[in-house]
Amino acid sequence: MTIEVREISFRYGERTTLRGVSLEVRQGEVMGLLGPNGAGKSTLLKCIAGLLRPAEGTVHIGGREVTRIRPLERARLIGYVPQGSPDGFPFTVFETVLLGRIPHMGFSPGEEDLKAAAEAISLLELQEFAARRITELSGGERQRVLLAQALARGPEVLLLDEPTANLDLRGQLESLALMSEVARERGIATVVVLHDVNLAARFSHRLAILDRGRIFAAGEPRTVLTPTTVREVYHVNAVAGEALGAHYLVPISPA
Amino acid sequence: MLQGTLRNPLASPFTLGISGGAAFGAALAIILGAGFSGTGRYLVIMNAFTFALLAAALVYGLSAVRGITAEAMVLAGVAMNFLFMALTSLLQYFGGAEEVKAVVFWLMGSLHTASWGRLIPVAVVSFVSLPLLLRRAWDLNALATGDEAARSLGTAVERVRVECMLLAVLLTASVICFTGIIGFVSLLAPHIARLIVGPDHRFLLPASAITGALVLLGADSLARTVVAPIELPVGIVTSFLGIPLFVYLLLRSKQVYWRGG
Repeated sequence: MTIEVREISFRYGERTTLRGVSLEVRQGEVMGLLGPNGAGKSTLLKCIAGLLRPAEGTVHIGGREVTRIRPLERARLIGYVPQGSPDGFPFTVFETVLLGRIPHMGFSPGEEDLKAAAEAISLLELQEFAARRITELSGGERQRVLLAQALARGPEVLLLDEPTANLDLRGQLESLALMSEVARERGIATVVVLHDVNLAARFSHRLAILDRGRIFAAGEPRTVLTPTTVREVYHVNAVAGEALGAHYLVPISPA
Repeated sequence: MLQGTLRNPLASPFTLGISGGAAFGAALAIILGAGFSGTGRYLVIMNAFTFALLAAALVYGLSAVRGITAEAMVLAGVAMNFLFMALTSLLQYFGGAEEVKAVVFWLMGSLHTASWGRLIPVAVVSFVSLPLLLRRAWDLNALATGDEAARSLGTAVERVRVECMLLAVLLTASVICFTGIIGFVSLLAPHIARLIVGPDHRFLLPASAITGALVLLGADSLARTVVAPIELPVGIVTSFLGIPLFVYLLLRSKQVYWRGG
């Protein structure tokens, strides 16, 4: 399914956080969302997830306006992983992943639900943790559990808000590689909010940079991540380069 | 159930102001001369029930002003409980000696007025609400992962919270309006049950109900026998037993069995 965001604006009380944002993410494509703190990245993600209703403009998923899709059906279509880790009662890893099947099941999880949860767990290599409580895991492991939960839904759209925030170097690479592989194989339209511009460049087909609620630039990583853009948006001096076929950017100093 | 909806390990009818409201209602009826005998007894019951609902409505109203988040509800509930406790004290200050004695006795909570006849309304409310609660078991499970995540799983977070609170109020009010305030069972039972059956609300809700009943029965037996032939109010026993047991449970569990809420 395709995500189409058309000219959306959003306000939190007096503060406008999104102004006329448009973007399109095709089936199987990964769109990296960049921008400084407070640029509106999480708000945009929540609008796409149908959790916030934009003041103006529309979000269409597979041609249907997202706020018009019934919550349970929306939950089946969209895997949304919010920032931070879950608090609350200590479910085991398996149970937490199984929660992702809520939109599919009745009072008891069926054969298919258990299978989907088990599959998601092995996909993220969480087997050895399956019976542990999530409260006993490290931040990074918990992050992977949440990604597994989102994938267990069997979503057409995947929305990830800083999925690498608590991960170490290897964990970041593993999670994002898995994300782009799954997106391609299953044809999932994916939007991922990241802070690390190089990880974003490496694992996204296209990037969009948000600045104070507007899309400042969007397109292929090498055209978007230029020293000029980075100076304008992040107020940081940087040099860009090319290595092993990948575009990279080294931040040097605050501008 | 309340602990689940509010994602707070200390949530109980006390933190939601329900108990305080009921106490004030009962005190008001007693001080105004309804007494414990004849039709007056029913007035006390009705009044306790009504004020419990009123307190809950106020908590709901207060928290609705800023969106029904778990934190808002707990804070509003604690505030309400203090308000009604102060009002109850005020009533006692102005009440006559006999009435005050009756109020104090009511506040301690006791099963000695329990009878099969009185059990019927309580049982009816319980049998109606348990299936309604179980219908929400998965929503409560989803809430464990946070409001936003639950919403994205298709849970109507606000509605579930209000629905569960309504049921909790009904259940609590229907019990304590007959018995008076019996503390700590509601706080303790879910924790014991969680240690036994785990955090899945499909099993946790019925298990909590059963645990609660057993704890109360045990406490009541003790209350009747410890200094026999005098029968202690069971509310005192549950608090005496409950608090050390509660502290023990918290200290004993080595795993982090709760992460902030």
